[in-house]
Amino acid sequence: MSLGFWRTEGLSSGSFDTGVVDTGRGSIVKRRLLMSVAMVAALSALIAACGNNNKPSAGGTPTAERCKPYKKAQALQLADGHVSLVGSVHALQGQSKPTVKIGFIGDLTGENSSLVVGSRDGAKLAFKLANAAGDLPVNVEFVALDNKNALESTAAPLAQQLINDKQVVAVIGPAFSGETSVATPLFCRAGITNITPSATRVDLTAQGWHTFFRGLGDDNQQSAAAGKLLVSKGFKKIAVVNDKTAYGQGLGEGIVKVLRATSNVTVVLDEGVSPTTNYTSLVDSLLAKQPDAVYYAGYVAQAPLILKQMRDKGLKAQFASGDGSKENKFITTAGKSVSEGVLFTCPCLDPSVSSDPAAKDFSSKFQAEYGHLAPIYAAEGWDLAQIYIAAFKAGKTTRAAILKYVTDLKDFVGLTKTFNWTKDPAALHEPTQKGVNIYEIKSGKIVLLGPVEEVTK
Amino acid sequence: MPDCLGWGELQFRLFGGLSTGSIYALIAIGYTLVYGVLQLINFAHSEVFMGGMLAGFLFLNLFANADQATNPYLLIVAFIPAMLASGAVAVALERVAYRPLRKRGAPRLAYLISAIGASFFLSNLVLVWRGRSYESYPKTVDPSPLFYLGRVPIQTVDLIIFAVMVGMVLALDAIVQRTRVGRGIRAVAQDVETAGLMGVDINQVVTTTFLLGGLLAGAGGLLYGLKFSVVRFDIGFLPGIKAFTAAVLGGIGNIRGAMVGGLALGLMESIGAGCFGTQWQDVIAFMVLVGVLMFRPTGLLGESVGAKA
Repeated sequence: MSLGFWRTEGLSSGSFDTGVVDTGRGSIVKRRLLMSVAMVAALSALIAACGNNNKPSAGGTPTAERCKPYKKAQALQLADGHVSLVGSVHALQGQSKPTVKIGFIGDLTGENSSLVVGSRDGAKLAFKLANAAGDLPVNVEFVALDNKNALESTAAPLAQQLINDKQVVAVIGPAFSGETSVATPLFCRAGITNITPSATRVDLTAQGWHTFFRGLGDDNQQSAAAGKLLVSKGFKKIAVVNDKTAYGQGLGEGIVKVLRATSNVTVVLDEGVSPTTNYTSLVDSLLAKQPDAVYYAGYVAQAPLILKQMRDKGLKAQFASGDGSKENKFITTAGKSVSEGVLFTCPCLDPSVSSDPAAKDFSSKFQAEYGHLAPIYAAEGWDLAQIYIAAFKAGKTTRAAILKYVTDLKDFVGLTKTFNWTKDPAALHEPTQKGVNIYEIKSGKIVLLGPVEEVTK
Repeated sequence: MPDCLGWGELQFRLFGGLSTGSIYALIAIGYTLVYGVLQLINFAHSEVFMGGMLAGFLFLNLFANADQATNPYLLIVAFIPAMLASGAVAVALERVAYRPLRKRGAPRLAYLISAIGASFFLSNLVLVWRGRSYESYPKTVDPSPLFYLGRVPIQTVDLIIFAVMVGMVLALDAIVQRTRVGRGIRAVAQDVETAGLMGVDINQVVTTTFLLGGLLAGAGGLLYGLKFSVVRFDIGFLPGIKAFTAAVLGGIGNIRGAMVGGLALGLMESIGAGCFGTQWQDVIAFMVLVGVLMFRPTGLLGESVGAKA
């Protein structure tokens, strides 16, 4: 039943004219070939050697060499501080305020943008209100740069763009762990403070970047909480899947470690699957292993797909995921009935379900400004903006002055936590108060069950 | 015998592999038809597939949602807009991207470049139109397993996909073998100048070839949406390449070969993923492509084709 036609020249040669002609110059060709192979091998060895030096060593000793240029700036710090005070005096005398910019980097329009726009909008609102209140010595402009799909390759030029702009004095972000690992060394060398509202990979604070601060609990807390949650619910056979990103892999490995250290619990599957749409093979593996619970360490663009394909094949295991999936998009993609009962761990606070009056106030302000409930990390974005606003109020308006202010921050009360930074170089500038909350999807809505300590009692 | 090839694990992989393979087969036929007639690899065929899938999505969205399975008969109706849309895209593609080159007697490379350009153009057009996020395909058929063969869940969706594929391949076969239009296609595939001298309208044959390939790709698209429940601007890329691999595997230019190649590739992917891990799934598909091109470029069934009229 063929087309009754087969020209062998169609595919093997002929029409594609590769033109390898034997002109008797074989030995020269061979020599050239050998030389080029040798060159390529040498080049790749060189690149590999250089490349490895640039890889951040997980949990290694902090290497201040990476921020050496910053030390020079520190010597000018006092002078800068004076200048800024003078500047603010001028401002109070009614001259037009100088403009300072706070930068932001995150995936604002890509497939995981629903995890990023919250922190941007929360910060934007904070700065808008602060400018309107009029008691700042400067005019704050919020510059949010879009790193589509949070690629590490595109994060560096964006960071450089902020660094080159002299009006940028500090940064909120980047939003995801991969882009943070690329952008922060650049900020560090330039002496620009960056506080991330959502990057949770553990080793980010083990690099010795003293300009980097983390505004939320990291994946160590999250994996411990995830392990605790699954064990407390009585699951004995657990599958952990990660998406092989900087975030997902770190979180997944952390959870596997925690689970393996628990008796009576077996990790039946520990796999990394790059984001795709076709998870048939993964689901088939899960079917063969029959876990009671599946934890997906990855983002909201893929998590509901996996859940859907699991349920389609009749796999009834409990599905859980982390802060990367805790978004309403999960429910709209998977469908209300399928997403019922899904659990999330999150080192974040959902202000709309908090009983704290300050959080409720923020929530209503956010709703009034943007017309919808505050999404994930909005409260964190707001908190970090408030830290910078407090710095401005204290007359700190230069890069160096702000860095000192943030480093010396003590007991700063925010919506999500009271901020104090750790000093341990192996985990530098983590917030001392972390708190992983457990959320569940009930009737098509993500509701807060409570902090992990209470939920697993 | 490694664990992954033992029946205990293998049984789970067979049906999944066959159903994914059926979708590859439907798309592969488009590649194989166009190649047989024009000696052209239509790299934009993945966007034809995507177009059909998108049309089916837009149609179903009017009557169903992504949450609850509604009327399974809706699925049958949805084939019409999906196939018509993809057929239209394929015919338009031929008119705009390939016919001008044919008229000018352009070298083979020009067709290739035009195909790749058209592919990028179409997928970016959809990107600008629909955005970057995955959109949920409305549910029509209840996706839960219909029954269990031992421990293996057999989903209605998989059965539908396989049945539709077999039906369409048989129908296409009948068209090519038994109708006047099909005879024209076979004639042009055998010798285009002589066919022209014999009174075959070459342009019409080419358009029909593209149309037939497009129709099947649209059906494949709808079924892909049924199985994987999401659609996006770049959804055609990976299935397109794998379908091309399947066409080559089965013997490019050979319709039955496309079916066999598709099923074989689906199974190999599924079993390979079980043995080496899910992340190797795509690697296996491409290794198959390279292997086939290196060791048996005529494909599995290719050799059986002679100058059979």
